Amino acid sequence: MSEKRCDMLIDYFNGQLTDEEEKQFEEHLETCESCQAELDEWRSLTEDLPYLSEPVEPESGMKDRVLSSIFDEEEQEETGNEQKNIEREQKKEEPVLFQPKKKRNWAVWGLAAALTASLIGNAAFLTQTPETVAPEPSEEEVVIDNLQQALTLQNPEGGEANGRASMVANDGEAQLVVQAEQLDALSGDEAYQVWLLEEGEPVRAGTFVPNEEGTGAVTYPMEGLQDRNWETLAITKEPGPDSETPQGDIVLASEI
Amino acid sequence: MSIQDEELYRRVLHKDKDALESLYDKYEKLLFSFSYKMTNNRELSEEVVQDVFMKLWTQKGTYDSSKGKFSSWLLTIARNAAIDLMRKKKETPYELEERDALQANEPSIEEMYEWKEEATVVRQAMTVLKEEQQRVIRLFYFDAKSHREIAERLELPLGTVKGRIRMALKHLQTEMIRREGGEERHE
Ligand SMILES: [Zn+2]
Repeated sequence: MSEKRCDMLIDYFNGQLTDEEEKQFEEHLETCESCQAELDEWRSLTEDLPYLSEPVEPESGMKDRVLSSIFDEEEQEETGNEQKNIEREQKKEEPVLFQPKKKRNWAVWGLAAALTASLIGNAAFLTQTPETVAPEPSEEEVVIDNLQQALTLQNPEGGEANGRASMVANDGEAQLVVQAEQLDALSGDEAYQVWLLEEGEPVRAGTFVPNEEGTGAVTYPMEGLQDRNWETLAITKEPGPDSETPQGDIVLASEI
Repeated sequence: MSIQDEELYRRVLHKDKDALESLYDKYEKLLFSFSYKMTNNRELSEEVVQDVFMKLWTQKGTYDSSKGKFSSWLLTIARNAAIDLMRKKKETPYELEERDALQANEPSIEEMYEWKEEATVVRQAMTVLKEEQQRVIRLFYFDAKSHREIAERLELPLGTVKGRIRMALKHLQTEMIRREGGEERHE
């Protein structure tokens, strides 16, 4: 009987057992020294086999697809939304890691980064701020139809942190693009939240987590939000990414 | 053991996205290529890579150094994910008489820049093995065939398959050790 169980080892190693069989075999494995030894041996003897793989170039944009789906999915789980594999295009909010110093070519992050990089140039031009980051030579052609508004963000109480917010019409769709630098590091679930205020009422307008250098950016579709009388744009540090109203202090703000 | 990997892994446990990205950059091509060798399908291979990093990020699988090298652990996760996906999809785009025909456009060692060091020894050792033993290893490890199927393909009684697998793997190991010349391996 026991020997018959031992014969399941290959199918166990190769994931060919049903859930029920697998459970049975794992029980067997706990007490069968010869199966344990054989399994250990296989694991160590096969350790170098993956390096026999011939190099294959992944499909372009794989990195973006993989990483954003991982980070997106987790966000959905955090908000209790079980729905998976939502088309990214349908998502209202796309947190973006802004990586101005690295040459990147990711479909979504890359687009947002290039869009932002280009805006920095524009914003610098508009505000004539000399110390503004020199615009990166554009790696990708991003057509921005119309830069509607650019704001310089500062901490009302002073400090190193600074940022820019722009309203752009890109391909006919209005987007709010916010980019900030020298932000404090976050811990745990903390996130920076962008708010638009109308008559003192805040509306969520993007969430982001800065990189190690304290730089972060987010684009937010302004669909249905364009024609309101926004008075203030503010960024707060929130205990989590899901605050419906601001809980933390304002770190950056500007009158609109 | 790569201390850097362990440090990155530790940061991933603390939800450091940059650390996950660094591990991704480091292992993307190896994991993709390995998945492709197993699945023969680019789409599935991308899914495998996604599964691996999803497991890392959501901590569905946990690593500690008692499990050996981090890279080996990652490759094992990839192999299991590939097996799962192949079973789910039952997708075999070209069911050749195994993979032999694919070996034709094998790249030269010079082209295998990223894992050249690891590949050299195992590749040379593999060529010393008789075709029969190479086949055993392919069917068993890369194709992850069932016990019964391996027996059928090799025209062997079920009871002798395990012994053949062990012999082939042991032979490969012996040849590898000979090539490493007893030197300590770089890890
Ligand atoms: Zn046993």
